[in-house]
Amino acid sequence: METITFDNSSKEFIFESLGLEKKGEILVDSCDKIVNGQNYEKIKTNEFGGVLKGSKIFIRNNSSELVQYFSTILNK
Amino acid sequence: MSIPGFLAKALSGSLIKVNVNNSKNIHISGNSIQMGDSKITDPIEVQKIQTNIARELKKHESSESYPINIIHKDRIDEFENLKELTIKEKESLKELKNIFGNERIKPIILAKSIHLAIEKKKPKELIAKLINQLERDFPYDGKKILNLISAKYFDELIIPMIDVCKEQNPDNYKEKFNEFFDSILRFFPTAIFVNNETPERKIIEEINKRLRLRNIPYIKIHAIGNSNIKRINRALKKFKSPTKFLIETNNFSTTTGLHAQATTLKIIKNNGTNKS
Repeated sequence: METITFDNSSKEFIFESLGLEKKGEILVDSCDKIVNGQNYEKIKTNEFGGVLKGSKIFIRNNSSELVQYFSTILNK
Repeated sequence: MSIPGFLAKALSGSLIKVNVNNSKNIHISGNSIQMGDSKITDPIEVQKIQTNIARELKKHESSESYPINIIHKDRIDEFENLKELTIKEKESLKELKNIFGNERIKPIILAKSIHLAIEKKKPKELIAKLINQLERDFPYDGKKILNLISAKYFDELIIPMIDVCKEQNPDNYKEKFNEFFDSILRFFPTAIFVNNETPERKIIEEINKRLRLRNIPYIKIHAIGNSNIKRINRALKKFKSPTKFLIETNNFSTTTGLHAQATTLKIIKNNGTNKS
């Protein structure tokens, strides 16, 4: 396993460490770009499920996002 | 950077001693940090390590990727399970993705990961969570695909049809195989899957549908759990048909210890021989 896991009590720490900032419901990076998921839809702060290796793939906290990630990396 | 390397940097300046080579995971909670078997709760040490971790992650803020995955703890078991599946079956999943496309491969990946979790006796909570997700995301065919995989029809009967389609239709085998797979999902001529929502009446109806097919050699009825098995047995006792068949039952335990049964109705030809 090559993973950092976090829970709701450490979410803020993860946001800060990744250089993300909360702007209302959404998250923005240090360049003020909206953090989006694999389908380019914005990820709300309460949906945030992490960031995966590859090209900094941000995911929501649900299984479908993981299925999509593993489907995408099959060809890599 | 490897996890031991990351851990070593995360621990720099801390009094905590952790064997970084044995610790491949870090869990960060609000007031504690778990590294392998070591749980650090001392607020000063937690603060020091958090500062180090934040510093290491910030180094990658403008780079293309982070050196490690960062995942909510609620998703980690599913992540590991999917990772195991895609390593184990990478080549075959790649071929299936090539045939089915980006969307249609998803229920197959999820169903296969559930099957793997069942085979590996992963926690029941994880399996239940994944099945719920499958039913929610793929309400039409998710459970059907899982049934086909669990009963081994997917790998042993369906996948070999790819080569048959390639041989018969080299130019459009993907389309032909998709058509074949669609037809199997709509109606599997030699198998019936009975679950908690399959009443006796439906079992009889499904048997009758298949008995109307010419030259069908057998019908296999699959069930897991005593109540489903009893329902099949009751339905078969009531079942009347001009078609003659022999009934064979195979009782076994699933990897999770549940009672399972495969009941085969072997159709007898008019001359008295078995069709299979």
